[in-house]
Amino acid sequence: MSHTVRKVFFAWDFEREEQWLNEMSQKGMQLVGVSLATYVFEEGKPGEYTYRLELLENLAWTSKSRPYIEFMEDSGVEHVAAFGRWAYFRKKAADGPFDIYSDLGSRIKHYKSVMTLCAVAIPLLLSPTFRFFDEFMQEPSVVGFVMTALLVTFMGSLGVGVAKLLRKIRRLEQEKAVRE
Amino acid sequence: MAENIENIALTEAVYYTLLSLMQPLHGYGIMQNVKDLSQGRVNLAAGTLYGALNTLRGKGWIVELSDDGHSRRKEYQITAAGKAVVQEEIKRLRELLKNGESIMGGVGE
Repeated sequence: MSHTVRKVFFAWDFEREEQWLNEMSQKGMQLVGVSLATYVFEEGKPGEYTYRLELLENLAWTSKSRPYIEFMEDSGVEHVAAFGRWAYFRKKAADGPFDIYSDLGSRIKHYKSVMTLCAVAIPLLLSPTFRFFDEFMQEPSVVGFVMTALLVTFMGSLGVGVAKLLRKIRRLEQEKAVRE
Repeated sequence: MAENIENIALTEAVYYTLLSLMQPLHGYGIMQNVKDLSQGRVNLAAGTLYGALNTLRGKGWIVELSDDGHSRRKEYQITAAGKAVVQEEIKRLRELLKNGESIMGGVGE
């Protein structure tokens, strides 16, 4: 039987999203599909799979991502779902622990990738925000106010997200000065 | 290769990957081989290995072997440049080991 759950996770919170997917797996709900703020689960054995998600360099379904996904599959990892550049992988828990990265260098690189994604979105949102704000100043309306407020809040959240990721990166880089 | 920037230590992942590629081997084979060589201590994750293989190819230390049969399961092999790098690394590790043991005394197995 399949279950659909609507939940919002932001890009910078991908590790919390991952944690949630693994908690669901422990409850017997195995992720099989993903779309915007939507997760599809299938009932299965509790803890059967370990889930990891990763931001790829290119859109997951394009040919540029094929070599990497095939490489993952060759190592016993299943590519379950994808959303944009986000790829969702899983591996049978019985096969042992599953991580995508095993050293600090590659983990830092991934964090930086996610951080760049979030950081780039901020200036992209500035223009529509100013437009709504300008319109609102000219002709106040509820819609205008709500849109401006939403966009400003979202940009603020992105900023906070970028800061969080930066802190994680700094911490790992400090660790890297001592060990790999 | 004359720049001093090349005299930095190799990561364990890179060192063991290069060592594994003295014979042609594919990605999963490298992961298994490194696990065996290190007696379970070093577990290369697929994402890390994939990045390392691309970097090593870019540096000319390994080559991707063009295969005729399957288009998946690409195999890699070390190059002469890669072998030279490993040999330099072994010299570096020997120096570290020699100094460590002479200062700290023999460390148990």
